[in-house]
Amino acid sequence: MSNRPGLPRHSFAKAGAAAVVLLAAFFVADLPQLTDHVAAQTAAAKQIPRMPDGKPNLQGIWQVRNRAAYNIEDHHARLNMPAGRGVVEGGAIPYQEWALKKRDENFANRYKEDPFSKCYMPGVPRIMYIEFPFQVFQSSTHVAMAFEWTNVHRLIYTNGSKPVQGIEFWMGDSRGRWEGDTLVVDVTNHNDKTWFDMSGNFHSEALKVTERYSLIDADTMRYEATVTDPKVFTRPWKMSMPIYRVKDVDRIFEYQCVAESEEADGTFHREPKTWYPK
Amino acid sequence: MSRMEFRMQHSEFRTVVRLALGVALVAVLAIGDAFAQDAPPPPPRGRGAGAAGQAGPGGGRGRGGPEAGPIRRLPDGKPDLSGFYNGNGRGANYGLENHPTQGLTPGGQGIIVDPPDGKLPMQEWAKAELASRQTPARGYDDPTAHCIMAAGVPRAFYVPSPFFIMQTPTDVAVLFERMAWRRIPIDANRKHLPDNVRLWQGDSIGHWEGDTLVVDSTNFNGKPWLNEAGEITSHALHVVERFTPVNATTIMYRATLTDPIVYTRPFTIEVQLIRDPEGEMLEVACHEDNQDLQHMKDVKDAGTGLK
Repeated sequence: MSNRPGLPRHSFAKAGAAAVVLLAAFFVADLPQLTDHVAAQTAAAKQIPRMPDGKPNLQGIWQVRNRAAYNIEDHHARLNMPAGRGVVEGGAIPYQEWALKKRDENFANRYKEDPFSKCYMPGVPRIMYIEFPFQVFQSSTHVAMAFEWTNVHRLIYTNGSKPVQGIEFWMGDSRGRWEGDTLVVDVTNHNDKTWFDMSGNFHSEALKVTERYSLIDADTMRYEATVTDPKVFTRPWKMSMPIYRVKDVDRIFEYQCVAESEEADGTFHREPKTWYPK
Repeated sequence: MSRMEFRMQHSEFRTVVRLALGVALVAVLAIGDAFAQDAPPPPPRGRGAGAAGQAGPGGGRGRGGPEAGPIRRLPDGKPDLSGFYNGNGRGANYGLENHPTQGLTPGGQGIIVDPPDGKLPMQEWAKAELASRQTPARGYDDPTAHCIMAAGVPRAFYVPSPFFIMQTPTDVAVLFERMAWRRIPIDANRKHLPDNVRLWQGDSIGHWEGDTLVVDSTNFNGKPWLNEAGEITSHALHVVERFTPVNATTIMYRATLTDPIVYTRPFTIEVQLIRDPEGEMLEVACHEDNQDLQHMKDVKDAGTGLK
């Protein structure tokens, strides 16, 4: 039997009691381990980088790995458009009847009409899931998002300030706050000129977007955007997707959309005396 | 005048300047267009501009600097550069040298502090190229006329447009309202990119020397112009910038440019970056509403006999 000190050996009753005690001892002895195990699982979820002020640290280089850039709804493959699952919760966007027709027109005219293909600023939320990375810089008062695509950026105020009044922006006005470990950003002051994707999904200037950024673990964040636009949709709706940390690069570069398209079509041309020769 | 109005004037300003220099018939037509957009020319800069600023006289060439005072610091003791700023370019976007107001082009006191004569030490070919860039037809060739918004190094700090500095222990990121941004990693051990990787804003590496952030940048693609006057840099450009906070609201910004293709020796410019505690990031949508480029193309085509 056990060599544990103090265990009785000479009576069944005592042995029975001992077994109970032993079991209890075993259980008690293992309890901290069990607790550790559960705690470790919880900790895996909670092992997220944090700022000195305790807020989640969102800094780093990030990019989606989905096909939302092409169409935020489920879609099959077409020329220059790989198939993909949608990111809209519940499947379809709840368009008003006229707006669904308009979306279908946009889709038919997408090569000509997509503002993104004209190098216009993509707006929010579209900039978050195009196929280019972005880098986050964070302080206690601001979160800056710097995008590779055409050097576009967003400055999200987390200092309690209020939106600018009466000015529409291509990239909206972003005011954030922390709800627990989630960064919640109200994006307002949109214009009516941006789309949600390459498939003509659209909105009006009445658009309001509420974004939620939550770190699932150190290298993954859950991105949610609740979209409200009573001129175009029958009710608010939500898109949701993971965004992944890009770990194999230490910087992101520049894709100057206007420069690349105008160099390609000859509108902006090489100056051999000063440009890098290649 | 509100800041928005001020900026609108500047966004229209290039058109007005170029058109004033342009071929008469096209210019007249196009000026009509430009003024139809309700953009009166901004007040002339130059001699009077320093007195109007809050930060006192400019820092260059014996005019005396801003008053020294306590600077803001981070918990780790490093200077805190963060905030919303305007560069006091003193006309540098229309010429780095001292230059008079010409027509609608604002004058400027010059921001070159070395060489001591305040002149760009240009090679002979560069003088000819600059003269060519200053003909009306070449206005079209300034990348910012095409709304390629990465104004470049150091131009982004003296164009008349504000910017926001975001500072972390490992990075300084600058968000320019003219919709461009630049990252400066602070890491003395970081290496520049291989020579064959070229960028509009180059590859920047920062380190602290006392209270000065020193930034070394290479790997430029040679495409940006230094200003609307067409002053020149090439892909051989190497820039060393020094950001030195001198009080709670002013950073002295110095940049030494070495470019052996264009210049006979390095030269150094100096401007003040002035913090605006009330500042807010707005948005310049240049390409999305570019009215200038077609006007400039008209001038170019008229000037070169294409139209």
